[in-house]
Order: sequence, then C-alpha cells, then structure tokens
Amino acid sequence: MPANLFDLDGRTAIVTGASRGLGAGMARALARAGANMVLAARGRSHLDSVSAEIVDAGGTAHAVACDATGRSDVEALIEAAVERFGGLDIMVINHGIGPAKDLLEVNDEDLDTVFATNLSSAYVCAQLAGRQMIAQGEGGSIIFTSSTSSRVAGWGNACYGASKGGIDQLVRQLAQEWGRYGIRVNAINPGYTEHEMADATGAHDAPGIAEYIERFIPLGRRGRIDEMGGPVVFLASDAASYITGHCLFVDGGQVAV
Amino acid sequence: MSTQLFDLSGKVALVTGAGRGLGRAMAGGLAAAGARIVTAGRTAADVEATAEEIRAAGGDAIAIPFDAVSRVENRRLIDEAVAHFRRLDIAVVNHGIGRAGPAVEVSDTELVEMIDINLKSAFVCAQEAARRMVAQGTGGAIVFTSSTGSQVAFTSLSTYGAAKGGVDQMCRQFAQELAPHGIRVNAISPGYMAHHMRGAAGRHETPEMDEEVRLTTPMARRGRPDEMVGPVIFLASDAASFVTGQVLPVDGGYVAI
Repeated sequence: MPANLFDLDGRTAIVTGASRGLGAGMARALARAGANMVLAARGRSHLDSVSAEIVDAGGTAHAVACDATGRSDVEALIEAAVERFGGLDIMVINHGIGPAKDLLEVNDEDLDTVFATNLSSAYVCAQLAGRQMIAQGEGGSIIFTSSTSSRVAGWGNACYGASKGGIDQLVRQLAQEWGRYGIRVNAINPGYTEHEMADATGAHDAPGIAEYIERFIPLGRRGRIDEMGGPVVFLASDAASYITGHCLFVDGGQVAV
Repeated sequence: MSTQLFDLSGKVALVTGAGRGLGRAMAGGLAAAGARIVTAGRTAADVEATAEEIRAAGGDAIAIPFDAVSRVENRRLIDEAVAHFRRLDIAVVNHGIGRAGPAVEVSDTELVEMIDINLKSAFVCAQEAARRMVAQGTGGAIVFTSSTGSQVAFTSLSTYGAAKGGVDQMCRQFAQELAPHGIRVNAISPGYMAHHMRGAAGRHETPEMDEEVRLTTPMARRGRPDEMVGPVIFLASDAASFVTGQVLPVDGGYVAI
C-alpha cells in the first residue's frame, strides 16, 4: 500500500471552524493521517474538546481562539502554527455561516455579515497562509470548504450561494497565481450533510427536504461528517500533487443530476 | 498515522488500457493499495508485463488481453476476471486513443474510430462491469479516464474532445442510474502528461508544446503518470464514499484558468 502517498506525518495543518461539524471531522481525519493540527474557532469550549479528543486518539493538536473576520487574529493563528510546529503546510479554510433568507428580504447587514464571514475572511486566511507558505519555499495545500450552493440554487441561498460562488472562483484564481510556488489550492463542496452549521436556518432543513434527498440525490441520503475526511486528506496530501484549482463536490451526486 | 480509508485490500480491480502509460501506473498503484488486479488491453505482451510488474512487487494480478471495441470481448473480459478472482469491485475504464486533425478534414473513418474506441467501448465496458457489480450486490466503483479535452478545446482535437465530452456526461448518467446499487461512478481528466497515448506519439513532446505547457498550466509542468495513482485510489476507495458523478481534473490547474 503506497501509504506514504496519503501520509501527512510531519506536516502542520490549520483548520478554521474546527469546533464542530465538518471542520471538526476534517481535523480528526487530518490528525489520523499524521498531521500536527492547529484548530481554530471563535469560541474555545467546543474547540478544546475536539483538541482533547485528537490528543486522546494519539494525535497532536493545539487549539487557538480566533475570530477569522479579523486580520490580526488570523495573523496570530498562523504565527501560533509556526511557533508551535515550525511551519504551515496545509490550510483548511472551513469557517462560515449559512443563514437562509428570501432574497427579497435580504438586507445590507445580512450581505455584509455573510460576505465578510464566508468570503472576505476566507480570502484573508488564504492570503496570509499563502504568504507563509511562499516564505517557507516548500509549497503547500490550501483547501476551502465551499458548497454545492456555489453552483446550484436552493431556497434562501441567494446571499450564501453568492459567497460560495466567490470562493470557487477564488480557488481558481489563487491556483493560477500560486502554482509557481508549488502551492495547490482546491475546494471541497459538500452537499446535504448531517451537521449543523452556525446560523444555518434554511434550505438544508426545509420541510420536505428528507423526501427530496431520498428521491433526487443519487446516493439518496445526506453525507456523513466523516465522509469529508477522505477528500480533505486526499487534497492535502501528495496523492493530489497534480491537482489544483479544482472544486471537488462531495455531494452524493447532487450536482451531476 | 492511519490511511486505512484508502485501503483496497480484498477488492478486485479491473484496469483497461493497462499495458502502458496512465493505465499501467494506475494498475500498479491500485495493487500497492491492496487490490487484486486484472490488467486488460489490446497488446498481450504489454498487459502481461504490467501484471508481472505487480506480481514482482508482491501483488496479485492477471493479464487478460481483449479488444475493447467488441461487446463479446468485453463480456469475456468480465467473465474471465470474475472466474479468476470471484468478484469485481472496481473498474477503471481507461483505454483510449488520441488522434488529432482539423475538424473540416476529419473523415468518417476517423470519426467512427474515435467514437467507437473512446466513447462506445467505454460505455460497453462500464456497462458490462456494472452488470456484474449489480448482480454481486455489494456496490462498487467505476472510474473513467476522461481528459481536459472533454471541457476545453485544444487545437485539432474535435473528435477526441467530442468522445471525451461524451464520457463526462456518461459518468454523470451512470452515477445517477447506478447509485441505488451502491455503485459510485467518477472520472479523472488528465491534463498535459509526461507520456503520450496510443496514436498521439510525437505531437506532445516538441519544444513548442513544452513552452505551451509551461505558459498555460498553473503548475507550469506536465503531470507524471504516477500522479494519477492518488486520484484513482481515492475515487476507488471508501475515502470517496459520498463522491459520485464527478469529473476530477488532474491537470496542474489547466482547466481552472
């Protein structure tokens, strides 16, 4: 088994939004593959328990409270990774919010909040991680958590979808600019999953959604949190050494139909 | 660290076009991940050499020469594979040819040959493999080798592009229809690779082409055949259990820009 292809031993990975849901799941998977983990989220309480869980399982983890919408907090986050583990190899930009609202009712505050949290702060995280990786001179892997909502419409997702559409294009743009440094930039686009996102109030829990998923998602079910683990380890590792600028849909076939 | 998610122990994988290039690399990679391998292709000596290489590395493989354009031959291939290994879990439909010529000059013979080999025979092969997987009742994974030429244009690749565009849509269609059987269907689209496929010798490795690759690929280099290994193991394994109907470019970012 070419285990070393997927092996992350000795690499350092940051995951933002790591205190629960997909972020916590991806952090666990990266830790199991051998990466030194730096876990980031606004609040410490859940974060510390994810961190403790990783350490109990034999992994290495360090939790950092970080408001990703503040540039100085993100700077401190990356400094923490470098200080603690000597560098940064993998940046998983996963934090985000998913409030659903009829587009006719969306106000400026909604727009500012969603765009600042899901798009601008993701941009800053990538920018600062990219700077660190370029300075290190050994390449790296940046992975955004996007969404099927970046490509297909769903009720109440006008604002959220626009933020995620922006992420997909940011992926392609950064891949183009940083390919020369050996930094690969990709996204994972989850579809309907078994998790609760911060402030998710909408499409994923709308009435009738269970029937819709069963009938119209090819695999006929929601994705499990642990099913984001394989994709993130793959994209983070040397197994994906010639893959950049791609949005990998982990959606049970949703966007294919 | 554990990369158990990507382990293929106990699985049987068929790889067509396994005698050379990408198919040979993928067959060796799947074997190293623990799968027992059927190497299939037109040239007996080539597919036998791949099987021998796998056995020499401690794996288990048999070679079955076959003519991919024949329905009867595809059926025989699946029957012989199953007769030998008792099951079929993974089918990598990789065989194909590359031919170039200005669209206005393409003859019926050239057109029919391209569609027959790169599209129709891929359909038949995947269909026969799927019939076996459905009968077996334990799910499976089908992976097509498509091409970046399925979604962007290259000089004089109209017939090839049409065939590969068909493969991408076939991938989504098969994914939708086979999902209820637990069979996932995806494709890998290689970009500029450091190898040339049957029929395309000479065109790829001119200094002009090297310059074009450098300028048009974000990673500024060709992919190596071994860089197909990680992607095919990922898509074939439980690590991709919620990924279906996807076309994964392995192209150094070519289609992102």
